[in-house]
Amino acid sequence: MPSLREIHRKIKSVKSTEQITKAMKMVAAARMRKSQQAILAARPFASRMEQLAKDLAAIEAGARAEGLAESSAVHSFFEKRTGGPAALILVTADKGLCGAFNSNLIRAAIGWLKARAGRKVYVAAVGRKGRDFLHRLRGHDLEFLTELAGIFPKVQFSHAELLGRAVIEAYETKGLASVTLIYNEFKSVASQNLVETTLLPIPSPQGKSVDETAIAEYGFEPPRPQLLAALLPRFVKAQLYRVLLESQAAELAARMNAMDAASNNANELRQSLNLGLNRKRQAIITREIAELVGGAEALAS
Amino acid sequence: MSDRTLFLELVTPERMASQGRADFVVLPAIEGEMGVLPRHQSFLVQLKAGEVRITENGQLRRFAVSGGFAEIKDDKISLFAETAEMAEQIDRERAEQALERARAELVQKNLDPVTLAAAEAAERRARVRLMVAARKRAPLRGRD
Repeated sequence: MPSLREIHRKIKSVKSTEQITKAMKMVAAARMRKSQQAILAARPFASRMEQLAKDLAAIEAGARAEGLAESSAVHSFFEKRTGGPAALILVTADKGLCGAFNSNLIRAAIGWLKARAGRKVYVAAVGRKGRDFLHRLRGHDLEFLTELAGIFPKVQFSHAELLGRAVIEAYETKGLASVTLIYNEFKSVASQNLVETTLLPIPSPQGKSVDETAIAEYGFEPPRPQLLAALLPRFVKAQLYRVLLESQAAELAARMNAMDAASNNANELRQSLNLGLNRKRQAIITREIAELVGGAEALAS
Repeated sequence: MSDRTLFLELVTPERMASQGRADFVVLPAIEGEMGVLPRHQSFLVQLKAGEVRITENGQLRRFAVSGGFAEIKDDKISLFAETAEMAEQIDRERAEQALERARAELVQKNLDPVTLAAAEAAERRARVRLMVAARKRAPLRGRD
């Protein structure tokens, strides 16, 4: 049985933990509101860009079908490559204390790496947690393309620019077959979605979304190859920017929930400790009274 | 003029800068300015840093954009710009300060790549702002 003093000490420590988790929850909530606005504001750009890329992919496919473009004129971002090493962009958080946020990502990354065991793999790590994990990892033929740490919770477009530049350069020079993204998407305050998607090559739409004549109707300035060369890297960076923002908002939401749960647990624990303490104190008092009464009776007899 | 109007969306990675109807739009295309009226051919064009002019019901609105792209399709213009700001909202002095700050940062050696990229972006933004602000002061006559 713990002594009264031990219980007191325990209550005190639980109380201070509760205060900390409560404060962290407040901080995460305030930051989340901001980054939630940022992601909502950034989505139109990303979704319109996606639409544009789809149009382009369809135009490209149409041009190829009509023989308007030689196969060499197909932009490398649309080209399906076989063989070649794969690349992974893993977007994690910088800090822990956000529930299963990071461990889910890392589990997905392990699965991805396992599927490519024995092959050369390039990785780009965003967030300290993922970077440290990949650095610790042994037994895979890994090479770092780039790493970004300490950018949350202040993601800017320039971060996406840096990441995009490194990835695109590797895609062009190292003959990557594909670039995969693993990140958490901000679905709502209560839930995050783990997403594993292909960044490059840009997936071409299924079926015909533009009619045959559309390609001939489109005008380009500058001519199509140059335009694509300028536009597609921008598209990739815009997508990366959205991903970073998604992950940032999701991380803060996850932290807010984790800290809320921790505060609740601490509160519960404190209450049960308090109850135990009171019971124990009452028991001691009762015993002392009994002893006194017993002693008095012994004297009287 | 036809009764048809254009629908224009000006988006940047950070936000939707403007959205609405327009009768006539001038874009800073890479090979010179380009005017767009309703029933325009489907077009994809790269933009350079400059001024976007939007006329709607005789009202002119101007935006400073720092490069990007525009897609014109079925009377709908989607403008993708790195940054976009209303010309009226540009504060010349602040833009000048921002430009100086960014330039001061850029001359430093051994910047880490994150700071460097941020400074480069800030410098580009400030330059476009000043360019459009300068035009606001001395409007070219006989235009628009």
